[in-house]
Amino acid sequence: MALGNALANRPKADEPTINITSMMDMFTIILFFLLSSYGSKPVEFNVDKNMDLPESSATFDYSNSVKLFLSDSSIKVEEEQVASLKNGRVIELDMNKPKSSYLYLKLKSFHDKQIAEAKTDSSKNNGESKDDFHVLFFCDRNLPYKTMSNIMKVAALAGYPNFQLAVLEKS
Amino acid sequence: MTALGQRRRTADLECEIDMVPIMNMFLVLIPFLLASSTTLFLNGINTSVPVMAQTSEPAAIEKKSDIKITATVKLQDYQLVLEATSDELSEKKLKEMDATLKNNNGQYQYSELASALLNIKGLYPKSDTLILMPGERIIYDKIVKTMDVARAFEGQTLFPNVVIPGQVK
Repeated sequence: MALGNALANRPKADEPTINITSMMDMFTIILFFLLSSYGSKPVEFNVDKNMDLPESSATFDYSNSVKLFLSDSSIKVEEEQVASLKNGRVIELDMNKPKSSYLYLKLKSFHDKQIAEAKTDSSKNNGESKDDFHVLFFCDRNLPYKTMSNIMKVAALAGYPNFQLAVLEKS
Repeated sequence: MTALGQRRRTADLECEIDMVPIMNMFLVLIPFLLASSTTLFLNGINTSVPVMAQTSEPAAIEKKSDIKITATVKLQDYQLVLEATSDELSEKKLKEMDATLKNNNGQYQYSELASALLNIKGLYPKSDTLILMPGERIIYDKIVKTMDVARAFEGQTLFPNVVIPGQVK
C-alpha cells in the first residue's frame, strides 16, 4: 500500500510529444514526387522481361489499339503467342505464303472485329465511323530490320498498314 | 490586472495546429498515388507501310503551288545516304541535295544528316515526307534514332511523316 501511495503521489511526468514536423516534411516531398509521376491513363502491358524498348524524343501519345509484341524469342498479338523466333528468323512464317500464317489470321480476325465495331458505331453516330486502325508495335531495340520488316508486311496485309512504334520517353 | 495585460497574456500562448487530420490525409493519398504512379512513360511514333492502291481510277491531280521534296535516307552498315526525289525538279537540282555521310568512329553522323535535311526543308518548306530505308542488319534502336533526327532537330520540325518501305499489294 505504501508503494502504491508513493506511486500515486509521485509528480506526473509530462506527456511525451512526438515532433512530427520532419515526418510531415517527408510526406510532403513524397506526395509531390508521386503527384509528378501520376499517370492519368495508366495501362498495364505484359511485356516480356527481356524486351528492351528503344528510347525516343517522340512526344506523341500512343493510342490503345491492337498490340503486337516482337521480342527476340516470340511474337505476341495482345496476350497470345502467335509465332516464335530463332536467331531473328520467324519459324512459323513463310513469306511466300504469309496469308497462311497464324500471325496473319490472328491480326485479320482483330481487323474484322474492329471493322464490325466501327460499322455498328457509325450506324449509332449517324455515319461517323472510326477507320484509322493501327497496330501498337512493341519491338526489342536490338532486333534487326529484316525481322521487323516481315512482321510489318504481314500486319499491313492483314489490314494494318499504319503503325505506332512504342518507345520509351528519353530519361 | 488590467484588460490590456490579460489580452497580452492570451496572445503569448503557443498555438498548436492539430496535424493528425493532415497526416491521415497523407496516409490515404500516398498509397493511392503509389498505386497509380507511372514507372515508364510510353510514347508512340506514327509510321506506315505503303500500300499499293487497287483502284484503277486516275489519281486526283494536286495543285502544285509549292514544290515538295521527298527525302530518302538509306541506313547502311557504314554510312547514311540521303537522296532527294521530286517530280517537279530537275535531276541536277535533286543531285545537289544528295549526301553520303560515312560513319565516324562507328557512329552515324546524325548532326550532319540533320543539317542536310534542314537545308532541304529551308529550300522547300512544304516537304514533309521522308522514306527511311534501313539495311537488313540495322537494328531497331538505330532506326528509331534516325526517325527522331528526321522528324525534328533542335526544336525545328523537319519531316514529320516518316515512312518505312515494304510495299504491300
